[in-house]
Amino acid sequence: MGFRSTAIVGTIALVHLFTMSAATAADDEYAGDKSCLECHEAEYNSYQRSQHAVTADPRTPASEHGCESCHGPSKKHADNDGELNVGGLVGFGERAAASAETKSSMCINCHSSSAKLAMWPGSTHMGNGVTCSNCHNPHTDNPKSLKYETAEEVCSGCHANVGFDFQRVSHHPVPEGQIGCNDCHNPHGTSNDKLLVGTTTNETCYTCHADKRGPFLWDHSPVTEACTTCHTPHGSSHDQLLAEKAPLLCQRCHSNSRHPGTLYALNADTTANDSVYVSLNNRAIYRGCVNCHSAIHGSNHPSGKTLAR
Amino acid sequence: MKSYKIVSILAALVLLAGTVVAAEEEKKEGDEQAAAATEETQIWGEQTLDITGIDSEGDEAKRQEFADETDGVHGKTKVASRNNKNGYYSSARAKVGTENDSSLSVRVGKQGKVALAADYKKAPHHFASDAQTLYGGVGTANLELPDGMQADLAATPAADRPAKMLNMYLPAVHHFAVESFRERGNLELRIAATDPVQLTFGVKKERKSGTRPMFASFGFGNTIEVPLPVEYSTLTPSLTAAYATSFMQVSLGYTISQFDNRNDAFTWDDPYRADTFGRLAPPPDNEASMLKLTAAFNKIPGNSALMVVAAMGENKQDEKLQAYTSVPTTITGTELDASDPANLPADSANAKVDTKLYQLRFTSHPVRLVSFTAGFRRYEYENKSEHITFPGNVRMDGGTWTASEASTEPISRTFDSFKLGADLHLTNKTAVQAGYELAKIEREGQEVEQSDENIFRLGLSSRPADWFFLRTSLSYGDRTGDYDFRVPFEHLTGNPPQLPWLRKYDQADRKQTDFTVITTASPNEFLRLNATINWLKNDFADSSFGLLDDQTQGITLGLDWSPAETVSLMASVAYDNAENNQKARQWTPNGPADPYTGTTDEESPSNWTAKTTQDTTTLDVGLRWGVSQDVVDLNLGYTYSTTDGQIDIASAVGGTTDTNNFRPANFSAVDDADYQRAGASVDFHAAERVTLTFGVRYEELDLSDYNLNGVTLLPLTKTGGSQSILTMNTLSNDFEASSVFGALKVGF
Repeated sequence: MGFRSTAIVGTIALVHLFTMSAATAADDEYAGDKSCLECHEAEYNSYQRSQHAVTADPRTPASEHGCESCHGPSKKHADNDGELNVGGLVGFGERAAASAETKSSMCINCHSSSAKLAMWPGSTHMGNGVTCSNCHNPHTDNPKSLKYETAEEVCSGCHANVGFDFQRVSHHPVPEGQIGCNDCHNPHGTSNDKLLVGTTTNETCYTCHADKRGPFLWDHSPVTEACTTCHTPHGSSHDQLLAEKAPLLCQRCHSNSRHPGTLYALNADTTANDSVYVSLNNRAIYRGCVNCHSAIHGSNHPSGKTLAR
Repeated sequence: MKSYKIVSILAALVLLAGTVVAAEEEKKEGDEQAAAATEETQIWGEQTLDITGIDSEGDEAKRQEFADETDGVHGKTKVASRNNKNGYYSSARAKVGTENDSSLSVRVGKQGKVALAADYKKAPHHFASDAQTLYGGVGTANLELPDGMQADLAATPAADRPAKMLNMYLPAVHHFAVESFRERGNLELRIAATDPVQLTFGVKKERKSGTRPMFASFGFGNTIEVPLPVEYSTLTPSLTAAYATSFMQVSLGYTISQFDNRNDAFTWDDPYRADTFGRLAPPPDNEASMLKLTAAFNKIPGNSALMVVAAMGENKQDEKLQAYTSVPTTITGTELDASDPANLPADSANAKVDTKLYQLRFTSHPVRLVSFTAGFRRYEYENKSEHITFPGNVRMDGGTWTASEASTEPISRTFDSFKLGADLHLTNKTAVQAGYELAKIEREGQEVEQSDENIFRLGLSSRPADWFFLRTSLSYGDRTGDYDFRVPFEHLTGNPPQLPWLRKYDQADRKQTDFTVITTASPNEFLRLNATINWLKNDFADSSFGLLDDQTQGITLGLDWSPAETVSLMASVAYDNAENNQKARQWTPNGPADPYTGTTDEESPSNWTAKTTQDTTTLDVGLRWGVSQDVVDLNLGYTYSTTDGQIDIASAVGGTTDTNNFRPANFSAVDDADYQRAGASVDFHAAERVTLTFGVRYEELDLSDYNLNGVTLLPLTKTGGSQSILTMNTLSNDFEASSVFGALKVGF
């Protein structure tokens, strides 16, 4: 028993010594920041203004091997006139050879001890091979070290269709810079679908629209389940970000007797164009049903059962 | 035993020595790096000052819906400082626009120790720049008409009221802007000096003020658009404590959000009834709180990780209830004075919802070839509000008293989701993904008490070459549930319930197919291409009424090309098509099309269908050309977007059993929009960090919609009859604007 324990401890000690030797040997492969500066002045100067260059913080690359903390030892790269992919050098550009896992691991090595990244493993972006450097540039002093000045520019690089949605007539004020993608989504992973920051879709929306939160005396059931039943949050051609124009939107679910099921249309027998309405009335124009049912998100009035008060 | 002790001591000494040596090496390396780094405090920034002149016409509110774009001088500033040696930093960013469109962000701290962030932003929402109303008291919660107007109109025969309104009253309307402003302040203090424990204190305060357009009504006869006063404030303090190492991150946070609406009631005079006013309940004060625990455990054997989330929340409001009605004269034959809130069965709403979230997610990548994900999520929305039974209800202030009782119906639901996924890593740059999810919803108080959805997913994520990335996914979901339309709140007194064959699409059986492609390609360092394809189809195959199906499909193509160091070209185009079909029936109780007493078959000449289609095409082009290197740049940009929508209505022209026995015409213009923006500017780099810019811009929006073709403040039918609606002229409309601008940007 004693011999086995001794052997195990001894082996551990030897492995540790071996590892140290290997690390020392690897140190010989580092060229140092000054070497990087010779060719990459712009990147170096920009890096100096970033939080990664703070030597006072023992967690930063600057307090270890500087540029080579993230890019790997670059002596061979420097000795070979800037040859790429030699000596363990890691590039982060889109055309760089390293795998997504390798690129992200260079960041995760330090940032894994951040509670903000707790939901990253298994998240949508990680699963789809998105790397930290797809969105971040650690050299910049942009907010959150983003690759571009705003999150919208970063996100629309891949989610171009969403970027176009924001150009529709009705949209959330993202293009105007009043809110950003990250007000509703956390790209590092969340406990919700679509990387939403709230526990549910509605709790995400209530962050700004607390007046719709209720709970109301008279609830409108689809409202409490998901705002997206009626609204398309990125953009719509219909007012109020609606998924369909009223009254048709409401008539998808309401075909009760009398006015909910009424055909609100033009009478082709009496008019040839859209300019004048014969069959239409105040339930079909402007906001349709909401012209009267104005408490559509819920009513707190004793007479608000039909959401008109 | 003795040898064990000796070897153990030696081993410990070796470990200790190794650690010391390693630490010294690290320190030495660190010192070298520090020497290479900039040690003095760096200060840098950028100031931009721009002068703009705008010539515009049309809908100013739409042109500046969320941002003030006015003549005058505006600016942006960014200042930052950092000392890499001691870790202190500070920064300030400000947008100095108009009084209602400005922002400021300040950051100060010592990196890795303490961080303080403060933000302020004020943003406008312009709804209408020239709204018109007969009411006085705009901006308040009491809108009143001039003395005598109500009595005068009340005394006028209904058929003559529109003409009287147009001729006598509309010239006297008040002109005003409908707009609201959102101010948001945020203060956050993060203490990291206690690493690995971090504490974060935050407080957010939001204030919305102004007006927004809303319709109010008295029965069917007089719908009136009014400016609803908005005086909201929301205070949200939060506290989070986190313990984070590379193996484990645990955080516990508590947030409470308190919403306050300064207006407890909103009243407006009824223009057509003397001494009558309406009263509604604005959004009530409410409070939401949540305690949330998040824990993640990394580096579990097998290259695995486990995430656990547990959260408990409470939403509540207890606003005082208003009386049934503001019009006691409409109540006859009852023993109750419904205009007195003391006669209500409850003083206040006493509404409360408890929420709970439990979530587990396990991921593992044990061997290079395969990785797994498994997850469970439960979200409970338990409505604990009181069931309040009112002995009768007045549907509107101008309506008639209905004696039957009405009960509130608190709605609760539970969502469960079980997910399994596996990735097959064919190479280290290509993975095939397969997944399955069972999503279950249990509801109380809605038509479908339980629905199950089986969702199957396939995906491919590949980077076969360094310059090419492809992500594609396909999912198919099949949702089923037992539908029961006879829920209590579908009944209106004296009316039959919902059309029996109708299925509400948010709960109905559904087959959903979703296909997405995202791809980027950089064949060389001068060219980047990207494309997306999305196709989504919802098929409510078991629904014979309601929404039957909807489908959207879109494609985007983008290009960034820099053929030379001084030239870069950006171009992108998007096409999107949306289409849906729905079906309904027009019927009256005990009428010929009544599904219970008349046409009891699904087929009826009173049935009608609507097919909505919409096509949107957008083109963006931009060029940046360094005409003279480092001295003059030319920038050109152009955007064009067009949306074409229509609704095709179909219904048989039937006989006596047809409640809509006319041939309906289609709506050919439904939210059609043509937008274009063109701009050109020249940057003159006067010095290394000084740039002068001169430019011009043109912007135009043309809207076409059946609401805009003929709808006015007082919409009339072709025969001159009233459509029973009085508006404020708040619909978005066309605009056109040209602007010239100059800017000076100085960096340091």
